[in-house]
Amino acid sequence: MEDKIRKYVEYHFRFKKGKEKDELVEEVYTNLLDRFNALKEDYGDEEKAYRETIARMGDFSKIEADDNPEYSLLPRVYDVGLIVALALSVFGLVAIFLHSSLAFILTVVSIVIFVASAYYIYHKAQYEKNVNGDIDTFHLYLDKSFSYLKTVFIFWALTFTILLGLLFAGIFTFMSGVNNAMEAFSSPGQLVLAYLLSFLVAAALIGGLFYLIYTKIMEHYRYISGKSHLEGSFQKGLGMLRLQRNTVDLSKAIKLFVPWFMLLIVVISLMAPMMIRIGSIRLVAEGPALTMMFELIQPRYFFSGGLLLIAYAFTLYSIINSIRHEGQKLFLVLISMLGTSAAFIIVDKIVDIVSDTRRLTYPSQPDSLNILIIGSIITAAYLIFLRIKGFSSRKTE
Amino acid sequence: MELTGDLLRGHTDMILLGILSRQDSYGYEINKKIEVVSSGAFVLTEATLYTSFKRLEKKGLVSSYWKSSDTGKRRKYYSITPLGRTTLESLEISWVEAKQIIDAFI
Repeated sequence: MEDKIRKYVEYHFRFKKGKEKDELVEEVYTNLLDRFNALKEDYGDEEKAYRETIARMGDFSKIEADDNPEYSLLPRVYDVGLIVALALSVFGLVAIFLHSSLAFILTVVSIVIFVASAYYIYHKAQYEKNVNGDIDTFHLYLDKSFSYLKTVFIFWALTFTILLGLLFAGIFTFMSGVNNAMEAFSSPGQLVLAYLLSFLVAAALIGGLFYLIYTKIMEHYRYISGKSHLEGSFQKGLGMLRLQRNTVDLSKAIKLFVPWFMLLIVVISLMAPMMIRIGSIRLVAEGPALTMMFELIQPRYFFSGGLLLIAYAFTLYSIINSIRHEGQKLFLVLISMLGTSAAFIIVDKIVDIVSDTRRLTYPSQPDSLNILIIGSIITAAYLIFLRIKGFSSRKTE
Repeated sequence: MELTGDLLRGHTDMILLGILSRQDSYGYEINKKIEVVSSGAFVLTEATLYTSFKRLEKKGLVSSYWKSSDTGKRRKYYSITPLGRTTLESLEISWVEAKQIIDAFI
């Protein structure tokens, strides 16, 4: 019975650490043992005495919450720092569609905040180990700062890849000696190819760079922590800021995020300009794709605007469907976005033929077609990423 | 009897200091004494006792030390400090005053 009481007390204070824990356990244990022996004499029944002893222990939760960093009621500054850095990295990526400078600034700020927080936590961890000899807290802090690394790295890499890709595409244009990106290419197909190439090169460069840095850092982590593997992420971070340790279903959360993100991209592409030039006269001046589509539903253009309309409708439908099914059927979303991009190109060609011009011009700002293509690339990359991770992402219902 | 317990709870510090002012003691012994003297009206849980002692120690009213018994068990003993004694005195005075005032009403 002595062991049983001791085990109970030890379990009760399992979150406390160090010398303080040992003394607390010792004190409570001896007192409970004395009480148990007294009750055993009174009742003559060991089980009854044990139950009452445990019942008389009372509520230590206020003490338990005291210096356990995991149960701290207020988030520490560095916890907030890491989360903010993560949020900014996501916004940075999304901001690309608004303004590339904004995206760049947000990402840089995210990096700064992250580095500052992670650095602070890292040294706090070392302090706990070297000064207090507290290995458990050392691991706790270490894991905290390193587990965010993977996630923020991905977002930073994505943002820089796209920015660099846009830069390369811009260089293509510049080298052709024209102002307008679209005039640099003799066909929309070449344009798409050039953009794709730029992005692939950028992805290889940035991806390679970030991967290298990440591996180096994780090597260091493995060396100092003695652990071979670390579970990344969002999940842990969210759990730490909460009072109860509910774990967020990570795969579900991400799967739900992507369709909403895609919805945002499609809506932006609908608002973005789509300009068609007929001969020397513009059909309509730089209108948003939404209105242009309806302009093109005329017999003269073989109702090709209708094709675009249907393509967009189907894309929206597949995205909403994906949201309703919690991130499933993302492949269908990808197909529909690529289909809409293809529809754009087809409509293009039709208008081209009808109006008998050799070339078509597009505005050099990111326009509907470009946005859709970028969105498709991101979706495709994400699906590949899911595959590699081994989550189930189903192709059909 | 239950009301009594509630009334006494507000004076836990004073009671603990009072017990310690006579002699050093440890958790269970103190708890048992309170139970016996109050005829079971006042029963403290281990947690309440521990938090009270922690609080008193933080204020510098008691101090603690470890002592091994003959059976080899290590127990944490508490003893009252000079500051604790003076505090107890003022608490006693407040208590007597309060008692007089209440007595005047009932």
